This record gives sequence, structure tokens and C-alpha cells, in this order.
Amino acid sequence: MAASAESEYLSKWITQVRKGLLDFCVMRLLDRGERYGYQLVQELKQMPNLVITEGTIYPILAKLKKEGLLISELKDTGSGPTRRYYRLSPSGEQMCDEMGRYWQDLTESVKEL
Amino acid sequence: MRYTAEAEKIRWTYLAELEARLAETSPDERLAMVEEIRDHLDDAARELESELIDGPNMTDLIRRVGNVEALAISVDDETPPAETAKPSTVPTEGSKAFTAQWEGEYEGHMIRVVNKWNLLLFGSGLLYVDDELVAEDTGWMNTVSILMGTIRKDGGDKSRLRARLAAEQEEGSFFDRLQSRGVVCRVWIDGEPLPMELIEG
Repeated sequence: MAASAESEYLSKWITQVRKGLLDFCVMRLLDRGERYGYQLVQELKQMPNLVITEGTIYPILAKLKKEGLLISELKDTGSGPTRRYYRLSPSGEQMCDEMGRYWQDLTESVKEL
Repeated sequence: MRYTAEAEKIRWTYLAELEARLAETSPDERLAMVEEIRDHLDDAARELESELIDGPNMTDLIRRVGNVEALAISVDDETPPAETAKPSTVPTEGSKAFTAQWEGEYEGHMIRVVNKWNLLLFGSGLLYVDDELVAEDTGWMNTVSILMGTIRKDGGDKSRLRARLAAEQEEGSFFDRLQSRGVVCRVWIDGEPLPMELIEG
């Protein structure tokens, strides 16, 4: 495989891994407490290796909400603007736990290879 | 913090393009998505800690959020399209609603296009064939609606039907067009224009 093809392959692979993990990362953050979209983006941007375009998060939030894993609520923040806060629903909390267990098993299995 | 006129125009144009690109998404989800992105831009602008956000600032904020096409593809990937067109859901509470209707006939079929909008800039374009709703485009800040459907001919073939509703005022600023109350309806069948008669509005 030529160097440019290798680099392209790696780039695609990283994109796929990130895409698959983003839902889980969003749910893990919301498991710590409710957050609004911009806040989530700022926290995710702090994670090394998880480079995201800021808008990417909103379709994921919409999907998780549609799946019943998140609950959203508009809240007046006093001096600031009204914001849409997201939190895990009970089934979202359960799903997040299950995903966490799967992720742990998977990473341990991969390390042993 | 406030926006210059240029920044405001760039912001609204971006949001209007996003709203138009999400035509396949349900009206509620589309509106929620546009509002989230609008709020995100406002939050990001506030973080710049500048009293005045100008055009280049706004362009940079939009670049961080992602271009409309990439964002819409993400939405398409994450959410399935609405299954069926639903009756118009233009909110009218607290705001006067306006309606305009056009009719035309094609090979014994009645084509009707309805445009509804209110002062909150929610608008809805509806396309009917023989009183059956075949397409709807509802959203916030719509200045152009493209509605598409088909007509089944007697022999079983289908004709492609395309309707375009657009603000009459095609000159002037984006805001002038957005607030224009006059709307032009044009309909084509297999690419040929169909004469339409204004019956209401």
C-alpha cells in the first residue's frame, strides 16, 4: 500500500471510530449531569483525539432524543438566554451503563491481542 | 454583544439555507435543529468577548459549526425522513395567518398549491393533486419552497410535477425578501409550465 493510500485508510478508519464513539461520549457526559448543546461541544473539544466539527453534535442529540434515551427541556437561565438542556432518560442511563460495560470489555480484549 | 448588519445577514442566510436543506426532515425536528444551531452561534459569539461581532467573525463561527451540506448530511444519516406529508402545521397562535391558493388543471387532474405564512416568519407550502396532499414544505424563514410530486396518467406512466413558491420581491436585501408578503407560484409538469390561477390571496 502506498504511503498516501495508507494515510487515507488511517484517516477513514479514525473517522469511523470517532463517529461510532461520539454517541457514547455524549451520553457519558450527560450521565454526569444535564448540559446544553454548546456546553457539550466545549467539553468534547477538550478530549484529545476526538476532533469534532461543532455542528456534528446536534444531529446526534436529536437522534438520541428520538430514541427516547435523552430528555430535553428549555430552561430560563436567569441573566442568560433560554437554553435547551439535555439529560439522560432512565432508559438512557441504562443504555449508557451497558455501552460502558461493552466498551470496557472490548478495549481489554483488543489490548490482549 | 451585538452583530453588525453583515454578520446578521451571514447568520440568517446560513440558517435559512440549513432550514431549506432539511426539507426532508419533519417540521418539528427541522425547527429544533435550526434553533439549536442559531443558539450555538450566539453562544460562540458571546465567547469572543467582543462588543461587536462582524462579518469575518461570523464566517469563522460558521466554519467551526460546519457547512450546511455537511450538517444536513449528518442529520440525514442520523434521522430517517418523515414518512408521510402531514397537514400544514404553521403556528398561528398570537400571530395573524395569511393564505394564498392557486389552481391549475392538467389532463383532468386538479393541481392546487397553497401557501400559508404568519408574522413570526413561519411558512408552509402545500401541493395537492385532486385534493390529495402530495408534498409539504413547512419551516421558519422560508423564502422559497420547492414542492415535488407525480401525477399518474391513464396509461400508467407518471408525470413529474414541480411547484415553486417564492417571495415576489426578488430584488433587495435578504430581509426585504423574507418579509415580503407577495408570493409567486409557478408550476411545471415534465418541465413544461402549467398556467395557474390565483383563487385566494
